[in-house]
Amino acid sequence: MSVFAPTGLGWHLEKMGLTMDAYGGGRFSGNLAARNLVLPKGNVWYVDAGVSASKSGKSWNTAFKTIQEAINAHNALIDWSDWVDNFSVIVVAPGLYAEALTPAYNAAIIGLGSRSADAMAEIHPTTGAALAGTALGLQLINLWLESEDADVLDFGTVHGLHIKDCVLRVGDSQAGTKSFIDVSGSMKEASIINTHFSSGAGTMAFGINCPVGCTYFHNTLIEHCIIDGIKSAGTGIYVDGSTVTTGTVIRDNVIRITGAGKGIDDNNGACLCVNNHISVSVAGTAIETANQFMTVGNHTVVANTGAIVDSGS
Amino acid sequence: MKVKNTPLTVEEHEKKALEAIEIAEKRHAAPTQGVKKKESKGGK
Repeated sequence: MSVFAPTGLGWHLEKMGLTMDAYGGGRFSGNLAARNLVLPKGNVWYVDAGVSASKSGKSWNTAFKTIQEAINAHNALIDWSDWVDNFSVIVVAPGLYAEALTPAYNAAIIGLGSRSADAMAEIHPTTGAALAGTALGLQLINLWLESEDADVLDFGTVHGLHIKDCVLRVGDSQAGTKSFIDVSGSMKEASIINTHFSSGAGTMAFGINCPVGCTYFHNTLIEHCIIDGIKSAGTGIYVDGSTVTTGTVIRDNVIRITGAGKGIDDNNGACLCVNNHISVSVAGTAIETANQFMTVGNHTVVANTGAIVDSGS
Repeated sequence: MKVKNTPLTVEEHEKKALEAIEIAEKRHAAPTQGVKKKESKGGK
């Protein structure tokens, strides 16, 4: 058995004393099938807004200056006849990225840093959505995403989307007409976990919006999120009555509505809402669902009175 | 892995992604396709 040894840094898989590197189209030759080795075809791409100029993107020393360059580099290597096998990781250094991104397919974009003193990787274009397009196998992890005049994340079709440990922040110029996450076409196989929909000087109309025309809200998990920054008459999570919803769970979230809005508005009545804590005003509605049996152990705090109401079977 | 010399445009990638989703959904929609059921012999 011989081993192809490509140059450059990349994913390494050590198994049985072997090191494989995926950069440069690295390959093994020989009969490896019996040893259950899986060859990664993707790469690790590095992005750092602090570099003076973009290079190859294959190490911190040669990092891209923009995230879109890394996305384009990954997408350019996709073989669409075998796309599932090509998964890249894009690692982003803390800093401001004034970019309106188009999607990476089958890739994880991971921000470094933590949420203090602007020490996250912040994707914040001057105009447009932070990211817009089709989500296919997309993971967004530990990123700050913000928009001034559009949905923060503006998806058409979602098929495999994982948002984890992110901050979605309302831009200061927002006027209560957009969404933190808008899905105009269809949403399937998604998870939004431990993400803060964060308030600011502006407001949003919706936290997560599946409007008329969104055909599916399917197999989606929304948990441990804080949904704030919604206008007084806005909605935390909206599902249209025409949206087919199966296998979707909304659990353990904290949602804050300050006026006559709704925490969760499920017009299809098929989202299982469990143990959410929702703060509403007297005029507001914590959960409005077409099927009350889909709510279990949710808790409402009526902000004006301090009353605590437990609801759900 | 086949790599195209000319990178696809954003629009072309979006079209490919939607096609891939359509194929995946068809696969999900027909999970028993190609699986031949045994004919029942009936009860004893």
